[in-house]
Amino acid sequence: MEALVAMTIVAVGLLGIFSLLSRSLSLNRVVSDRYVAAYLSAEGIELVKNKIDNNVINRRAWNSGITDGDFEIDAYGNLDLNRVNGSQASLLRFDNDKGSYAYAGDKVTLFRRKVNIELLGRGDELQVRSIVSWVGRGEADFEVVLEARFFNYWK
Amino acid sequence: MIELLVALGLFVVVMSIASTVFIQSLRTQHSIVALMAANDNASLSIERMMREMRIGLNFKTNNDKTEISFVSQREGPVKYSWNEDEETIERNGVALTSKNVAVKYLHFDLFGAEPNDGASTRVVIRLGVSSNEKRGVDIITNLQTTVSSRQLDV
Repeated sequence: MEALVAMTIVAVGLLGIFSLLSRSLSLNRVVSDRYVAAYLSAEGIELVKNKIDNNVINRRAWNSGITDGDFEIDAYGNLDLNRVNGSQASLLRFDNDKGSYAYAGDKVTLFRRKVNIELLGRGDELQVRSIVSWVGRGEADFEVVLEARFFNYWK
Repeated sequence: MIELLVALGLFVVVMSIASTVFIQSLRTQHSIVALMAANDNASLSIERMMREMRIGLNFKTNNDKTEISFVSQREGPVKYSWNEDEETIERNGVALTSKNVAVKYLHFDLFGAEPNDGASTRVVIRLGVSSNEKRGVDIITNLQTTVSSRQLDV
């Protein structure tokens, strides 16, 4: 009887350690995913800024080719803002050889990036929100949202 | 006597399993802490690179894109590079990442860096970060971000 009780206690203790181990491993995954998402989100903002600067350099309207809505933009493309099809942005892909995230690549990632743009202040202000979302541990929804505002200070 | 032997045997088996699991948990915990520290450290290095690149001019990369040089508005010529042997990020030849970080790869993709090319310079930074823990969990965090230089060639 004593042995049974002792074994039960030990088994419960072991299960606790096992679950702690698996939980800490998966939480590490969550932390890593957040790092990746934060940088991909920052990239979305920078790409829109680069597009604005390209307009300025080429003496076009500062917000030429930039309209209200939800878009996808690729660091390796020609900075076209492609409107999001449907309710969700496409999954980003990872190129194992290059180590790059884009919409072409051999490995589908967890991450979706949507760049939400709103023209404010009679066209002299742009509100850019870069939203990276993914389904992570325990099928939970995660999201990193960064926002920047750009102004037409060249006018 | 037999009961005692059986009990002892069971006790030894159970205790050895428990201690193995406990030691493994400690090791895993240790390597996870190391990995988080590595990510934090790499993050600081990326922030520094991005901050300097934002106000940089005259960007150039080497052929295999593991090195980028530019002129920082505040600090003059700056070179960021990947030291493959040490697995570190270097700034002007001095390690920027600490020894607990293993930078598995670092590449800089440069766009719009030619003078009068009608494009603003942007740099895509890609790197793989892991911890230098010898018995650590073999996880590489693949990071990518882009910096758009605020110095326009108009």
